[in-house]
Amino acid sequence: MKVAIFNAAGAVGARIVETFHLSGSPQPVALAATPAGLSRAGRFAVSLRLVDPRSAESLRSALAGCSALVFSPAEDDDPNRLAEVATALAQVSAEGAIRRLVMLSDAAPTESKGGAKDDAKPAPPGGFTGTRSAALAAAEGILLGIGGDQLPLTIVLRTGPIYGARAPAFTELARGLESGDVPTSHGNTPWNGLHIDNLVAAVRAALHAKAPDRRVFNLTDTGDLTKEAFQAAVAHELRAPTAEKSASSPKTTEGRGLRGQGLLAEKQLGYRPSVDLAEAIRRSCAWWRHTRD
Amino acid sequence: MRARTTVTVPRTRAFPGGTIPGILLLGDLTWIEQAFGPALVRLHRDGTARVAAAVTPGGKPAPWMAREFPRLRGAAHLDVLDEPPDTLALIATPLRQRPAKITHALRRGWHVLSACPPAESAAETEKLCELARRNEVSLSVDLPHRLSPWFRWLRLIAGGRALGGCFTFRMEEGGEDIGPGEVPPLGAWLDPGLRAFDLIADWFGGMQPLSAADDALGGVEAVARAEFAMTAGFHGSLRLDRDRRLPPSYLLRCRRGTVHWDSASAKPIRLKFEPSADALVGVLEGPEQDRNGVLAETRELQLRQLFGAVIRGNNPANHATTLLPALAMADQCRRIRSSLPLPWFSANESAVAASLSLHGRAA
Repeated sequence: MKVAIFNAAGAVGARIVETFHLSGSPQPVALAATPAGLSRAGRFAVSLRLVDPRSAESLRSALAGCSALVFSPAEDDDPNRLAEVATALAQVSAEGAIRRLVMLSDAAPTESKGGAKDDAKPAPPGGFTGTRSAALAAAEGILLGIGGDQLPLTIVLRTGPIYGARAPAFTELARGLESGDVPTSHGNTPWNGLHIDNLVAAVRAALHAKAPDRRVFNLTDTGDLTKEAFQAAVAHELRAPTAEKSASSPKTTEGRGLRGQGLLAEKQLGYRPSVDLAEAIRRSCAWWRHTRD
Repeated sequence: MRARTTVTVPRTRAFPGGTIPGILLLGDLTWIEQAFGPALVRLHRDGTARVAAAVTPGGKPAPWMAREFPRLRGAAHLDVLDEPPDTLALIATPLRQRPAKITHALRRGWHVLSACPPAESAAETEKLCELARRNEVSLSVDLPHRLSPWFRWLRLIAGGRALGGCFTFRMEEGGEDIGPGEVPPLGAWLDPGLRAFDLIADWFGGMQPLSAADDALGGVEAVARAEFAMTAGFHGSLRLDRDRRLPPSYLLRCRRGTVHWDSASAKPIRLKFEPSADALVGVLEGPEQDRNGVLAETRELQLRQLFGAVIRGNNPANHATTLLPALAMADQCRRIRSSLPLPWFSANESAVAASLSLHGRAA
């Protein structure tokens, strides 16, 4: 199966290409709007294609030969254009050979208060936090609106903050912890992050699941961990100066995250996280040290 | 301290025979418009040169060309154009086609200004230089950083001005490509690596790579690192990173202090005098500002210098031969490179990556 990944320029898109290629299947086709956006995927002998995401003709050509599409908006994609891109994707996917479309979204509903909802309940109808969230939610609506028995079957994987290799939020956190520039007291604010490798595992599950519902699946791998405890665990792994101030130990994270959130995704998609929280933090910090030094 | 310098544009000169030199555009016209558009328009309007022809898809000029150069002739193929000798061909085709197009242009007696680099290796570029010499035309390369004020200013520091002799440096690049984008992209050793190698060669002289490593796994590298031993007797390091795309950053340690310039506009250049705690902090105009004007001026200056050199019959400052040390360094780094560790991979991924990198190196 050939899977088109757009936008391969972002941290998540790049990691999906990396993981799919290194595991041998499915066969990734990296799409980006600019040649520079293909530099991460270009490290591998994979198919690289330029695409103008707002042009149906360009999308048709870029998706040629692919039977599935992962729509992963990059961190710096213009929110004002996401709905337009989603409309073009919906149109081209519906008329072409795309049988499954997986959209990755970090839209944060205002009612969730940062917490992952029990995804057996419908997503809240209320507003979304920030322009990007609102734009992502609109894009979700457009893609899920491909109705009835019409292909492609659309699945939305909605996450909180993504952490791991190249994720901008994690880069900012690691840099801040090392320089002492991040506030360390967040009370009991839940973290609800998702490691990038677990997101890739969820994408793989969504691509292969038999007859799942067209809907939004919420995902997190940090369980009921608070933001403060997550930061403390990262600081501990990085041996950052801020780690001394916290009483956190590696045991806080061991075995966490392998079950507990994203229950519907586990049940309907067969999703299983690929790393527990301790390993997720280890890999994330290993990437940061490699990049920083 | 405010090291802001204005680029001075020389007086307009007449071309041999009193004619106005023609310019032919070939390759990625979007990149040409972005990089050279303002310079071409100015030269065309003030009568220094005439943008005469372009090779475009279907032979139809792009809207900006039709607007700015109404008499421009479009052609779908280079063969169709019959521009006279001494025309300047501005070539920005994908790198794999570039040497063939440059060869074609040089054989027709046209001068060439090529996007960087003219060819993938030093040997291939040397052949093109030789062809240009035989055909008595010039082959120059787009290297606008050499004419930027920040380059000249840091060059003085590297040369021992203000802080004494340099004894180590650390350079980081990756924020911006130096040539037109293409698919598949060029490896980081070439873009932006060549700019970094060119800076090092120009500021510090001869060098030998002690180590080089990159992350290519069957494709082209996005991240690369190298350590150098300079002929002058000190060491330095280079890091090319298209993963993070940070703006260029240069750290030079000299006998009487250090200079650190992170070209992101928010961070000023910092000169620290040691052993005292005195420091000078100022602003250097870097790529951020370049994009808003200075780079357009340096590109215009580049074209004017090229025409001036043609009139005088000597090589322009950006002649392709001057890029050979940088190209040779990129060649050497690619020859000796090992694989960078990728510690965020799973055990399985690391095993596959190891076999891919071994396979890639063997190939």
